[in-house]
Amino acid sequence: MTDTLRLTAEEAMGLVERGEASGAELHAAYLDAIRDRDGELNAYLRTVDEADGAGVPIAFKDLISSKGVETTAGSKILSGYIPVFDSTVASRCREAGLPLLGKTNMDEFAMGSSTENSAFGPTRNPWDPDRVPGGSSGGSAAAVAAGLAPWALGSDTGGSVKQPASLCGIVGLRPTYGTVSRYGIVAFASSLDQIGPMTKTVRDNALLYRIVAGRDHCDTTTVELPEPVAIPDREDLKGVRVGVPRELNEAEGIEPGVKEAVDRTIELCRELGADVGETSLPRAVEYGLACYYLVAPAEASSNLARYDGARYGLRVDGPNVREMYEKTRDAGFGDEPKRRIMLGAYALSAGYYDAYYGQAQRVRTVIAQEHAAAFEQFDVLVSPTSPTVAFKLGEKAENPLAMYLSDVLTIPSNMAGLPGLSIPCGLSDGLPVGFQLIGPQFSENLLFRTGHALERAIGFDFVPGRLQ
Amino acid sequence: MNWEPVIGLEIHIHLKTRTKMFCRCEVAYSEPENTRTCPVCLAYPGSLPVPNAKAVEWTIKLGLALDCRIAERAIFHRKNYFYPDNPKAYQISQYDEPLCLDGRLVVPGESDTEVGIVRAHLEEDAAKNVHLGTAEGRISGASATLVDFNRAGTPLVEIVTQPDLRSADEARRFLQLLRQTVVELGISDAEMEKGSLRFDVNVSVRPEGSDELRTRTELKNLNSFAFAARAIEREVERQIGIYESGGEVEQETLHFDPGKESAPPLRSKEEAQDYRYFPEPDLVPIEPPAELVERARSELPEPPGARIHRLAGELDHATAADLVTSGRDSLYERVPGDRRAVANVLMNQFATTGVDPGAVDADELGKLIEARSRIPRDRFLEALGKSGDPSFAADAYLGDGLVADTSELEPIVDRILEANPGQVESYRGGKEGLLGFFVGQVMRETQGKADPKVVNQLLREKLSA
Repeated sequence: MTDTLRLTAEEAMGLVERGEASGAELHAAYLDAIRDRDGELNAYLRTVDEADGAGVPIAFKDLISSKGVETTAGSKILSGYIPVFDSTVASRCREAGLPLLGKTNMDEFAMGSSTENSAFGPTRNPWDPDRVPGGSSGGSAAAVAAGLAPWALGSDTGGSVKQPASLCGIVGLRPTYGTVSRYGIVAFASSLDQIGPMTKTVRDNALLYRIVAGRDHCDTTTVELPEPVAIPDREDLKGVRVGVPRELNEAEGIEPGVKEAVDRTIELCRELGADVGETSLPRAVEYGLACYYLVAPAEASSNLARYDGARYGLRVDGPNVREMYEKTRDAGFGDEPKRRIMLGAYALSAGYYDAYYGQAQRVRTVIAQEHAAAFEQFDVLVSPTSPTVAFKLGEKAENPLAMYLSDVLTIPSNMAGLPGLSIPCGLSDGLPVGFQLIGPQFSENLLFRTGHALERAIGFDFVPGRLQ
Repeated sequence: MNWEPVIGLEIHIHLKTRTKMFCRCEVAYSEPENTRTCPVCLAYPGSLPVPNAKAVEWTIKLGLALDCRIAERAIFHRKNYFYPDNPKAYQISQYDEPLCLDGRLVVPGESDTEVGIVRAHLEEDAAKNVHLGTAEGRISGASATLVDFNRAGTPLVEIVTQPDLRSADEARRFLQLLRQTVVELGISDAEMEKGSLRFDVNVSVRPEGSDELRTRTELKNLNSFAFAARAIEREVERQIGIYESGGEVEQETLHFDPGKESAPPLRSKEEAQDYRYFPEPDLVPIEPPAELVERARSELPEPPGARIHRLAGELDHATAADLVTSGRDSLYERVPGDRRAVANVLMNQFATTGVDPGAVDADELGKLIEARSRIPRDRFLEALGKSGDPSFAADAYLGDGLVADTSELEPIVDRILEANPGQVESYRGGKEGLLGFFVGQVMRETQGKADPKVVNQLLREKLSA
């Protein structure tokens, strides 16, 4: 019996290559683990019984369309919806021989930072089931952390890969906007959504990124990678210039334990040979969150308008089409999507567009310019991924603004379309702390190299203590 | 006071690309419902638009033909609204950065009319709603609505004119010329019956000489150019009537019933809809390469307006415009013979045959038209109907079937003269105009088969004997 708890995807690949385990056996072993441990965690919304592929199995966040497998995006409005086509990432995984284990839980339409906004119940953190796994890709993060998947795909709009990776003690990459196809991904905010790998190690992350990244003719916003994905092996950081943006590291609300673990890691960068210096992103941090909460809801209000009960998913009938729309959308959407649809529709309305959406887009340009300026001096920028470790279920559920602040450190670079990697850098009160590495566009290889060297030096044990 | 109509048009044209605007479904008109659909045009979750490069190129071509400036950077916007024929609940259209801007189309006439083109932009068509439970298929009173998504996503060019038209007839001529321009570019069938050409008309009136713009009304669902011209005329009169009796025209939309021209239009107030336009984040801006624009410019055919001008030199403007906008002018130019006779035959008898002007041997047709007075009407029409056949020869119809044999015609002529002694006497008394009467009688007797030349000759001989 394979011990899925500790097995990395790379090790699993080795087992398959050496003939020590087949893809189907691995798939079955993970399904057993899911049966054992997911009752408590609720990381999966559904599993796939048959292994379709001879490689290392994978889990998909439930907004990634996989032909024939129900895809709900964590929403009642899509319950029963079975895609008739594969998303591009799903077909790339299929071509690479990765059998699908199942679809993981998420905040409804990826709107949230705790996975509590799922219409199908919250996911719990494998490190402490009273706490949230983060979100919105909380199901994928929990599944990888608890050994219920060797690797998984999530999606990141404002921090939905990086933040749950941080809270669950795993590695999460938000790639450069445009490097991974969004075709077949249930859209939240099109100009920000990116699919990202969630793994136990940085090398696993690079391996999965290599499978899914690259131009796709079905998504015209994608581009060809300027260089092939390199699987990192160096253990030093010689020649890497590491910038520490003051505002991201001294933001209000960063817990002392988080700050301590991150500072230790910055020190470690120096020890590994990096040139470390301070830098500043004043407006990115001050205005990033506000800017995000105009752009993302505006796009969401349009992207979610297609869920009208006419063609798929939930329908609540009414005496006329207008009432069918209203009843369907009232019953089908939870509070958070409704809140953001209203916010977004308002930001786009005639007379307000320029002050809200238009202004937010201009601020976005400023944020990108500020990052570009910082990258004239530094190769990577570092900070905590999340200001806090995993918080208790229900702690922020009634306070949307407090919840929004969970992403205050991940949002600025997302607004600039930049890649970011979160790696676990230690524990605070027994809970994982994430270290965020931000690079210029298409610098994934450098992020992998830096993340890998740090990962080796930190020696973080990704298996949650209570499961050991 | 004299009143001047102020008319502007908004025209929608389907491009006849093989596939839809943002997906690879075939563009279809008469296929069974919902058989030309895919995740993109049904707006399934996660589907993304990919623009049709041909449609972009053709819109640029049209823009050039309308003397527009082609934008160096054009943007698709989302136009958000809920309706069953709009599956994404937004239409991908263009807003403040369209592909083609600031053009003009000159409508030739005794004096030319230059009509400004505000813009021409590219968008996708909606699906088709089919309302059940009412005879006319209208929404009011319908028991259910079905949606056919075959049309959803068909590439559509919207052309908006300045309010530069000053009469219903001018509007009709503009539309005919625009339609012909589009057809000759090879980018659209532009057939109203098929729905590949649709237009709305904005109408207002003002005192002649003034340059104010008064409240306009919008006329929708006009299903032919002639109907549109009549509807505009009626609307102009209505508005003048209102002003002359001291009233005010209200801004409203007049929805005509395409099935019943005589039905009075339904009126509706224009609601200020907020479409919440914003740049389509799923698409990158279109930046047409200069080479593409220049190549398209170099491929433009001679514009129909120029040909109208040329032909108006030997005909009149109306006939020249008719020839050009019916696509029969190049045949006209190829057919030898009397210009007006050729034009008349092409615009009348030939037009009813449905023969493809391109397939016609012009010299043979010229011979036929030249001899038309000697050919019975039915035979002439029959000949025109065959004029597109590769084996068509005019000779087969010249004389053939006409009785020119005097031994056959003489007894008939004698019989007619015997039966009409009074007329014979009058003719001989100097009323020579009666010759036509006798010819008519002979033609009737022979069911039009007598050769009129021979009959004339025989009659003259006998009457002067």
